[in-house]
Amino acid sequence: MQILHANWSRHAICLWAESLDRCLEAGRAEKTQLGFEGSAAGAATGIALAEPGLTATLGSASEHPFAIDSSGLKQLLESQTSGIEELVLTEGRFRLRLPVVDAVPAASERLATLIGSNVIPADARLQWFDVPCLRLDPVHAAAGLLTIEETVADHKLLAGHSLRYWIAVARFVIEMLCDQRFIPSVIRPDARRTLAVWQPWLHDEDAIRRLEALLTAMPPVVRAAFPATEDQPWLVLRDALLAMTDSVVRNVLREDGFGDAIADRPASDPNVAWLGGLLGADGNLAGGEYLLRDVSLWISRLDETGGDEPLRLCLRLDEPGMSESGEPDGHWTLTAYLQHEDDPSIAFDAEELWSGAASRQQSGMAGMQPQELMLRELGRASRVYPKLEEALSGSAPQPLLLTTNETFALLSEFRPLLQESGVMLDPPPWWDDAASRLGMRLTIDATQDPPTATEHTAEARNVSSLGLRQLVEYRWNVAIGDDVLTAEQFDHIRRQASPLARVNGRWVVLRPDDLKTASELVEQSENGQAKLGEVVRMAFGMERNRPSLPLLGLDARGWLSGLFDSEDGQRRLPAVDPPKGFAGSLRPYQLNGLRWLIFLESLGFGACLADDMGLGKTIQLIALLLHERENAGDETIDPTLLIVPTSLIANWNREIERFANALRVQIHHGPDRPTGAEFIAETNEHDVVITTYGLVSRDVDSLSKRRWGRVVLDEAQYIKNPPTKQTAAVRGLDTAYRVALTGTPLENRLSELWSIMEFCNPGYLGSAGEFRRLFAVPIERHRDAQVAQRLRQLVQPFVLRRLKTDPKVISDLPECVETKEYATLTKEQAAVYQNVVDHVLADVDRAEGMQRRGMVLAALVKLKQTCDHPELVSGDLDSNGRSLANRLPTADRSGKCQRLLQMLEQVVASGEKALVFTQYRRMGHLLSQMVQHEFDCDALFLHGGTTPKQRQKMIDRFQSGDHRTPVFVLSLKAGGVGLNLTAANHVFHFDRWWNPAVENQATDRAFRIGQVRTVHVHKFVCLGTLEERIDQMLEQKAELSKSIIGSGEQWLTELTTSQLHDMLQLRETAMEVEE
Amino acid sequence: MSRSRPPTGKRRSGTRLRSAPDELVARAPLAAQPIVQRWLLWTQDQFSTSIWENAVEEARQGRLASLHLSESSAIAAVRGGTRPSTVTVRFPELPAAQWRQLLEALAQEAMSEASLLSSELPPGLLALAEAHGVKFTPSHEERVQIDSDPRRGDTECQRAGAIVCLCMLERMVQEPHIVFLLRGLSITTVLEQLRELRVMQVQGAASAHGDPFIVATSQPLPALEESLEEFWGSGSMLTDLEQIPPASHAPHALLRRLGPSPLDGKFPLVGLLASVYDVVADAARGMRDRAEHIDVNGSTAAEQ
Repeated sequence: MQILHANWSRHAICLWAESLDRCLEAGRAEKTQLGFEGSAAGAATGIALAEPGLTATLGSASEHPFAIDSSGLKQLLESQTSGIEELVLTEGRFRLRLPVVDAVPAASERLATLIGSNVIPADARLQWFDVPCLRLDPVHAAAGLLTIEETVADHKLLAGHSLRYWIAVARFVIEMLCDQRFIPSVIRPDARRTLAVWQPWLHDEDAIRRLEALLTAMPPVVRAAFPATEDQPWLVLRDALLAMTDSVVRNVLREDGFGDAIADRPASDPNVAWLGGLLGADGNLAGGEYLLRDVSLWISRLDETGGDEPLRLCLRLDEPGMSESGEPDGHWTLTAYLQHEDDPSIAFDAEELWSGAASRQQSGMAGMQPQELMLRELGRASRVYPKLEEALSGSAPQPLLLTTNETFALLSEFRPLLQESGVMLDPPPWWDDAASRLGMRLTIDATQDPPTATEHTAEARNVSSLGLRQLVEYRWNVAIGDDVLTAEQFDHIRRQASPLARVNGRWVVLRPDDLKTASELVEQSENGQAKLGEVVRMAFGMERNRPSLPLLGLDARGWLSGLFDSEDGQRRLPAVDPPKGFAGSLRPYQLNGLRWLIFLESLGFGACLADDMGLGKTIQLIALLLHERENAGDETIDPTLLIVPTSLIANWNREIERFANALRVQIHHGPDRPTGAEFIAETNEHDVVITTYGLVSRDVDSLSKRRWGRVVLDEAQYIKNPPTKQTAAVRGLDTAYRVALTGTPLENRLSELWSIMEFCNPGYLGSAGEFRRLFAVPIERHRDAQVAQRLRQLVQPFVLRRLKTDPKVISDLPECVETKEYATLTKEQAAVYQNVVDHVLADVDRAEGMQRRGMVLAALVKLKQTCDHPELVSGDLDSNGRSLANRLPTADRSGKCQRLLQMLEQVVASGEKALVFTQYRRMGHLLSQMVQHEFDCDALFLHGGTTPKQRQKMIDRFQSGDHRTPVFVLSLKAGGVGLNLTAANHVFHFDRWWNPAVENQATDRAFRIGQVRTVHVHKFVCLGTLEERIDQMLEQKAELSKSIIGSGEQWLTELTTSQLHDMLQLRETAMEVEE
Repeated sequence: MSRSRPPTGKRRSGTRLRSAPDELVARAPLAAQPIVQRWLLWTQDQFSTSIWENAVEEARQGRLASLHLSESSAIAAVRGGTRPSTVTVRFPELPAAQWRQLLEALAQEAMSEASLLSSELPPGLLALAEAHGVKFTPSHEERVQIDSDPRRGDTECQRAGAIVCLCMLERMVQEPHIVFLLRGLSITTVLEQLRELRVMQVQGAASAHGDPFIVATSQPLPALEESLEEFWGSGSMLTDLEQIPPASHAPHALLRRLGPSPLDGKFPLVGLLASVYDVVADAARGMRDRAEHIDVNGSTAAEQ
């Protein structure tokens, strides 16, 4: 495994990587002193400035002991990054100042997590290291970093924060170029040279916001490359922004042959002289010093935004009066006025200022020359909107009269420029309103009635099985807002030949492109017929033949009515009672979830139930299974195939047993599982078949031999993209209905959304590539809110996600919800557990009194630790939980750890926070390392050795809005009392104290005054072990027993050997079975 | 009881010369005296003795109604007949190259800018200029140009011009900064240019565009030695940064805000820059799409 880093040094991005293997090999003693060989690689094109803030001098430096050599890194990148071979990557070295711990450079945060290393001591010294790297010259740096981003996004390499930082810078540079936010300029880097350069324009509000974030987010290591910029992040950032922008622009213009434009022009022309530098290879402006001042004056116009004045120039647009027939009568009027920045109620137009009606004293303009200010600002504004000059033709500014066409030009073309220049122009309220623009509405007519929603019969399934493949009639209608236009109305609008028209008593914006498209729509007025999926995809812009007008609404008629409108959809849900056989109660929102599942299945659609963790997706699904059977009458219902992660088999089995005892469950798992005809025969005897993702591909032949009533995916995000054999097998199963369950917020993980929707409703979101182009890239990379909204509308009918914070849900939830999470042991855990049990039973038989009690207690500790993680009893860890065998802490060896990480994934993805309590300090270390590694975050760990200062710092960090610390691991003794950790709304008891009072005290760290959300308490229990037995006793026994059992573990030492055997013996359910 | 007004130097809204020419130099601030002296001599040299003496007399009587000074000229209303007539006196302008030399010389010493900012002339201004070969005051060969009402005779015109010069000299005693204005640059422009030169000289570098203000207002970060705890990371700020959506502006917005190029020359700079913006934005979008593995047909590299 490698951690990829990036630094900016000597006008190039230096990519370098730490190797985990080399780090482990190097250990703590190995170091090699090497002389420094500065890289000769420089910028391929573009300018090279004197190093700013150069404070270091060249001297000897040590070779970085666990950095990958340049050629190895190149091979690695080329093998894992598509398109990187097109980039110019030069092998080289650069110098980096790193903290030194025990004479070797401190491992990066991510690497330290992998090797279980400590944090860098505050008194560590810094030392220069010589680091092999691949240099990306400025021309290729921005594009190269974005290309590499795709690789690290796929987790093929781990990205260090420095790499993420430079990717953010590269994205900023590219976005600025795409948005034309760069300027030609002149700089004099020193007394000898004057250069023409291309610069990003960083003075406007948007750019400043990004720049401020870039300056603040710069990790210290980014400042540590040679030449050192110490405490001035701007120096390194400026150099990079300038070099990348200048090099890319220069390169593009050179390739496009722009130099030809000035080939025969006299160099005495200052424009030509400047362009010569801007279009040349090195930017040199020999003898061009005089340009510095003139260009400076020109560029300074961009800084003139009126922001220094307390009064700001504003423009008011008044609509023309209306004739009796409702038609515009006269001109639009544009009036200039000055408005106070701090108190918008203070505003004066030119007439008031010139007539003296605006008293300076009363209006906060004392000491000002408002007339001159208005004239100056109008003069400035007329630079971007020349028509304003007409307002200045008299002795005082006059209101400007505009035709409708001129008004359209002002609003569409000039208003953005005026705003950029600091001149406010409030558009009419209808201007940005989608309802005031030509658009279209789609009407889908579904005439064939579907079966009754509450029916779950074979007939019903046959009728509705087509789902999105059902043929429907559709029709596009030109509309304005909710009003569909008739051909006559549209013809009237078209004849007005004006970009702004009065329609039904209101102004409507008629863009030429909209008119053209609308005309075509009106001409093709006949109804179309297509598959429902195609029509919906067309509506949301996924089909190439879709008209380009904005979609103003989708009217579904017949049995589809209300499907695409969330409120109507709710109204159309069938009235369903909770199944009679359901042993429990469904909260109102859960009953609604059941109704929604029934409704979608009745129409043949796949459904994704994506409720927040803790809202009861499991019981909603169980209720659906029961409902189906209770309403089937004499019909035979095919079994539901439930595909879950291995660690959840036991949980599902338990929950079905608990809530729907009537359902016959078959667990298809383990080495003795039936196959072929035997399997089919057995499935016929069951209502639910539970299997795992791993087995679906392995047993695909058996699983494909029958048609399933329903295939359900729990933790559906396991269906990955790009498709694996397992994914293909899942999607290939023959089934009437498909349901996906996930607690992950899909809006943040679009590839998962696609994969899940592809399972639920195949083809609905198009191919993976199409989805990526149309949705994933615009949303994830370019934060396009409109596309995100379109995607939401597209999937909304098929995804139900309720949050714990939803008002309708929160009123149904108690303040604290406690659940048990059952885990199985891995094979390794089971073997260790059995070994401990065998030894203790043999030993206690021969011992008595205190010795016996001691043996039992020691064995209990070992067994509980085994349930946590086998490494705790194997003696492979030091006291800090660091692996003595240089192994990474891995969750694969512990069923509990796997389950915990699954659940934490949803906590982290939802932006929530969690406390994890354990009794064992070494387990706490392991957990914090796993969490850190798994979620790339900072996991806090508070234990008995934590100093009061560190403790307070951890608490402050966790309680703040810092999303880098979503998980706080605490030892039960050190963190169980006295802390206020209300930032968490999940509490995990990873191992059990068996004393509810102690556990409740720990829970109360989050569930206390100041907590405004429902707290979810998850208590972990290993099935088939003493944990389950004690838990059952606590659940079932009388109060007296509770008080004994619940007081701790001492009572266990008093059990007879036979009772002890019964208590500790490993049951069959404990083990994760070999697949 | 009536009281007489104290002398104000004005008569009937006019401007009366209060000092005899030979007293002017002595009344000027010390640093301005050599320049006032040089201007006085040059002015006297422009007129015959009789015209000069008559002008002195008439100026003291208050024949000047108003005086407005602008770059290289003095515009005055001089009483002569039934109503005042406008007289414009133009002074030779200092060539741009000489201005640059003079300002660069001034920028060498911070004292120069400090004096000017406190409304004084830098000590040794004239000597400094001459040491750099700059003729800060007009030479004897350079002539004054006087425009007046053509109905005035030549002598009358000369006398009116001399009156304007005398009053201009008296203004110079009170406001020495006008020595820059009379040679073509306002004090505001002089200070602006000195500021630019100062920045260039202090940093050894200069730029036609300044750093964004956020750079100046942001606090310096702790030294690396004090940042060891977070040495490799950036807290949650990097994630926050990644969430900021890119902005979108109108095409050619910056170019249109810049307006026409102020550079002399005939080449259509702005037109070419418009093409530059289009070509570069297209190329950048292509670069971004390629990096993100999107091709025009909508499939990803991974799919291919």
